[in-house]
Amino acid sequence: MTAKKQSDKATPAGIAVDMTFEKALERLESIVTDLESGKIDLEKMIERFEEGQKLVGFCTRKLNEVERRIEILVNKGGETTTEAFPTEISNDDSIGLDPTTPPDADELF
Amino acid sequence: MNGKQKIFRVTELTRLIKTALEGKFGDVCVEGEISNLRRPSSGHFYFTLKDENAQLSSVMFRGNQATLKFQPRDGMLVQAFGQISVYEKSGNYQIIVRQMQEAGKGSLQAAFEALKLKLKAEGLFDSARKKPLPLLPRHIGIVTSPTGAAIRDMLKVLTRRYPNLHILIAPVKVQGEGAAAEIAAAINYLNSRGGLDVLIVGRGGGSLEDLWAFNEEVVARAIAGSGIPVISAVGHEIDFTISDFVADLRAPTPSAAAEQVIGLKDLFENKLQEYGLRLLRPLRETLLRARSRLVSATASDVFARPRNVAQQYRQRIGEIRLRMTHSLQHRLQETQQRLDEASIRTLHEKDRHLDRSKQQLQQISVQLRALNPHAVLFRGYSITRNDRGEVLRSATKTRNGERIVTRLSDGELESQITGIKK
Repeated sequence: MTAKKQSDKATPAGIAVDMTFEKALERLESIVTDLESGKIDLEKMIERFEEGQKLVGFCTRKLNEVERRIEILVNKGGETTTEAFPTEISNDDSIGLDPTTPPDADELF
Repeated sequence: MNGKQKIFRVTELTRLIKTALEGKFGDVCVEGEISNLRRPSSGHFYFTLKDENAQLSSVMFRGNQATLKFQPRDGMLVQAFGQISVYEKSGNYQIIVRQMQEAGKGSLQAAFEALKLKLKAEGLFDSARKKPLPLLPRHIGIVTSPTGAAIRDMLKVLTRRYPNLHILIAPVKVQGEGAAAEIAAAINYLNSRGGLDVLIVGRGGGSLEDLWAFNEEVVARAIAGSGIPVISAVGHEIDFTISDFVADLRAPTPSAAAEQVIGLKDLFENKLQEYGLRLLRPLRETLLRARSRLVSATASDVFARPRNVAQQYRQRIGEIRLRMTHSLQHRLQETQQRLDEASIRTLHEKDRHLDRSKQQLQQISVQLRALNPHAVLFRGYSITRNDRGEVLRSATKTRNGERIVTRLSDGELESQITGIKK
């Protein structure tokens, strides 16, 4: 059994810096198993519950963190950079690509 | 010129050539590369079948084209079946193609099988090698053509249900010369660039030739070497390419690949919700249980109506105090009474006692009086004392001549004894 690292837990001080989804979900699974086992006393239950809540909050934040961005790689003077990819998102949910503006991909790869 | 040489007229000779050729060859099957393909408004295909050293004019009339299972294009290797015919008017011979199939299919298929065996033997298809897809994909890389239905379909699916997603498209040729190299380079570039959670590599449907880039070794090795998980999404459901075998996941179509990504996000969200509930429920149940135990414990008489009970107690205490007070008073009274009675009794007794005493006293005094010598004296008796003051009770205790004092009831007589008589 591997020793528990600091990064595996959410402490009262907060979530460890190198916490990842995988670790968070793993720890959550372990916490709910503990809580459901009925074998821990009320004080510990509350402690674990709070830790669990913090982890759920962490994951939820991560879920919503990224802004929508659709971009395409382009070759600008030998440099590979990105440009916004021309799409329309209309009310009827269909994406129409503008056929005249997709960047010339021939020289990129 | 020899005088004996027969001189043909053109038509005559051509007719003979036609008969000879058509008779000799009739229906043939010929393999060659299509070039110079034209399709005028008549709808007939006019093209040349060639190889390194020769070429053959060909035509496929419109009526025969229904049997074609592919779209003929320049550069394609085909096997054409038809009849050799001489077209007298132009002095050309040609093949009138009635059926045509892709010849490449045979060799392409062989190449496919060979590479598949080779890479499988290297373990590139092993499921143990396949990386798990990310729990939450937020940065997606897509290697595909920037035009065409595939990218359009993928973006449609992704943006419909995943509002905050970052998509980076690496535009590539997806068929023809150089496509495989571009695809491989794009995969490698996205890996080195980093910041992506998953790659989708694919294109829309097409023939074996169209999809061939995704069967090339360089693409397979790029996918195998990708540190980022790769979803292969090439063609239609029935198309299987080597990319599909090497990738960490095969999606039957590009849209399906996009659905897969959405699915992962949904799974993640559901899992979070589930955990939220599973955190709360045991705690709530434990608290409820504890509370209900407390409630039933306090439901017993002692706790159920505390105010009433306290009231009861207060009442009882009041009563007791009252009773105590009463009884105390009573006792006091009683005691007082007893004391009084006692004192009264005592007094009475004293009185009686006094009376008795008085009586006794009286009796005694009567007795005393009776016994009083002086009373005796009144009866005539006298007390005689000698000169020493001693009372004479006996005649012997004196002598003649002794001076004696005789007490009578009302005085004393002094005398001298002159004689004693017994």
